[in-house]
Amino acid sequence: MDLSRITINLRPRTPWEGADLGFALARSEFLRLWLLWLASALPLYLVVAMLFFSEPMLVALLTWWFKPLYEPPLLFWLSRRIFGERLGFSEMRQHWWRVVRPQLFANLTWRRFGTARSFNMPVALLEGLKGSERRERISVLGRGQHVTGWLTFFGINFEILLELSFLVFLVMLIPSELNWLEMDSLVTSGGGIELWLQHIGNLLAMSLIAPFYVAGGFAIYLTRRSELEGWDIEIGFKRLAERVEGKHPSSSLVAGLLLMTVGFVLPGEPPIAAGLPDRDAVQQSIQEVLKDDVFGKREMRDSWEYVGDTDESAEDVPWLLQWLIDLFEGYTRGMATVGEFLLWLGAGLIIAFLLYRVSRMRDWPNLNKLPGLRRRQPLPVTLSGLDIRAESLPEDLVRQAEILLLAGEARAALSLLYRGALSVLVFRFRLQINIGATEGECLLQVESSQDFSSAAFFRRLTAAWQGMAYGHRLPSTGELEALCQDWDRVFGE
Amino acid sequence: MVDSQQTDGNGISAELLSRARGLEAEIRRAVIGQDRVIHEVVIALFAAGHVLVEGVPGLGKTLLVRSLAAALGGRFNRVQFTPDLMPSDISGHIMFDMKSEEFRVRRGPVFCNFLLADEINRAPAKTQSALLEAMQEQQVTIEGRTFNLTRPFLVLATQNPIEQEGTYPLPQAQLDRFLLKVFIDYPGEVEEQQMVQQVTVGSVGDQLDTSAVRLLLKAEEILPLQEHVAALEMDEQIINYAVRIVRTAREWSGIEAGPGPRGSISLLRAARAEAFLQSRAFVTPDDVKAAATAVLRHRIRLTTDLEIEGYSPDDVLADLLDSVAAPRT
Repeated sequence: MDLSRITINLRPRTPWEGADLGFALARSEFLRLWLLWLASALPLYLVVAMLFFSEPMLVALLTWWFKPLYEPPLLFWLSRRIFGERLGFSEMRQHWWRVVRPQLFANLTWRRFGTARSFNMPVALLEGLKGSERRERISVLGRGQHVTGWLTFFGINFEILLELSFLVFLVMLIPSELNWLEMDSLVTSGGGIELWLQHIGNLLAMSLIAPFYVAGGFAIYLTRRSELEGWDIEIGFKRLAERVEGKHPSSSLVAGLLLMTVGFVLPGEPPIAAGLPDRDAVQQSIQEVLKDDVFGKREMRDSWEYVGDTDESAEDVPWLLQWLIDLFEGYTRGMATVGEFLLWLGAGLIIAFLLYRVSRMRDWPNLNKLPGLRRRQPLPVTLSGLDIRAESLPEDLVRQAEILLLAGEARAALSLLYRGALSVLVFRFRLQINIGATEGECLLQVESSQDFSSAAFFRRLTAAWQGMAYGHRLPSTGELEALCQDWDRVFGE
Repeated sequence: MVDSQQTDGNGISAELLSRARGLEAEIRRAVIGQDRVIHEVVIALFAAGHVLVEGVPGLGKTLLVRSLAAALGGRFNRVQFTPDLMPSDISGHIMFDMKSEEFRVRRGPVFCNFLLADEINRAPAKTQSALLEAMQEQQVTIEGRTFNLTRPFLVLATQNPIEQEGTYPLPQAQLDRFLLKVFIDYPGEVEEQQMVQQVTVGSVGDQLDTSAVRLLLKAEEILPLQEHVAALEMDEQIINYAVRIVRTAREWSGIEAGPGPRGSISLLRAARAEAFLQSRAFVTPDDVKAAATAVLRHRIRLTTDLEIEGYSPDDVLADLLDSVAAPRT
């Protein structure tokens, strides 16, 4: 690596500035990076789509999962680009497998959910480290580099936003008269053209974000290495040396000393000066340099620092002042407690309101309609004003009906029998009778119920009841007596 | 439904009642897979009402009316409503007869027993109202002279739910004149296969074949039957139930405009006919509930948000009917 050929301006940067540098890099070379990503991703997508055509969800998942396969070529290209070399597509094609292969299995399996993928990638790809060496290197490089996690986080969010924007854009372009595609179905549809459009949106979003993600991670990596290894200093000195050697052979002492220092700091580089000066002379020179106005300035800066509680005892404070302090502290604490209480109350109310709104939503799944939950509903106590609670009925219902029959109150007797039958059906056989259910609907429910086998009797009873209630036709006494006897047989304990 | 007492009617023979109740089965011999629609049209016939049918073309609306006319021996006419149709094209007009040198009334297609008003919403409001007035008044005025229409007079008007461009939707007040609004839908697979087989085997072209339908009732026998239906016993609770349903519909949160009192009246008329077809001499809440959707669906207008969410009047009415307590005391 010849740092003198680097085309980006390396200087001490914060990781955020590093990411920004990466974005600038991605912007300036976006088209190439984008095409490079698509060149890897699109063939794989098409292959996967052909293999699993009937499983669009699987196609989307696999395309997303193989992201570590499409990103190394971008990094490789960028690593050459920053040294002024622009690789063509044919060269990239030759290098492709060599670039993608290193540690591919690990990248696609246990490292897939790593949050600093683009930052760690150069360690394996450019430095060629693996195993414990890689781990140690990443632990050193990654210290304090939480920006890499944020980069992934923002990347995911921007991908989702871009995908949604694409879908909304599509829907907006369709004239309302041709309303064959709806936003709801685009987002939630389980199959069909909507899901494939989602895939295209997804692929597009991934391809747009990937150059920024890779370049961002790479630039943070460069910034970090520059910080750790003083690349910017090295480059600065090299340029200085070139100027000194090439243009001003009779250089000043300071420049010479500095160049010598560089020779020590950067092992592996050829020594710049032929011989080493005397130690005392160097010290003297340094002192002279420090006496210069540029270095000789002294500054005093003040700042506050928390040093913990002091041991001042309350005895030193006058009692009145102490009382006032306590009072004030108590007041503020009390206010804080009240504020906290109000905060929790507000949160509780908001949650309760949201739950209420959700429960009122029309599309909310009707749990009552689920077969398993049907029997858990509270049982009705009245049906259309008819009290069907067991307590409201006489103990010996049939006997009571017969007494009413003998007293000539046939209507009351039949009403009692029908009411009792409903009560038994609701409470003993757990039939869920709706308040709006008519007699016919009750009968249908009874006939379709597997728990109750004597539907024929209920049919007779209902017919007699309907005839009397709505047709004003009283059944014969014989028929009523038969109903009483059969009621006891069917519904009796 | 619950079987109940046979009735001999008010001076009507049991044999006539039996024939009347067999009308549905007779029409079903020609119209296959539309049992619900047939049932509702027969209800409208016995309740002396008119029917608005909504459905895409080619589902057998003309065949239905032809079959009804064949089973009842009445006169059938069909008018295709178009934007240039004039009121006189329906009611008729007076023309000068050169031969006899006098004015002669030429009666329009409305003078019949069963009129199919195809795609009624394609004609302008003036033409629509000419027909709707005839439906309501059962008479037609031509150049100042009033002519009574032959009874029974049943109008079956159709609307196409698609291709709404260039149509004149019926206003709420006009819709209210139809006793029922019926949806005609595609038949089931088995029924469609049976129908296609029946229509194509041994027949030339796509002529509608109603030869399977026998003459069951004469047109003049319908009137006493309608009177019989109108006289069926109805308990006060039933009237109360129908009124409660209609009043609840007016206050229902998803309904912007509810039905008027004519809605309650129509509901009870249809419920009576339903009870008659169920061979009952009295009306039960089941009859009211069974007729309610077809009677009320065109008399309510849903709120905009429900319409946007894709709810139909039938969905709202189903909820409503479940929540109105049925009489059982």
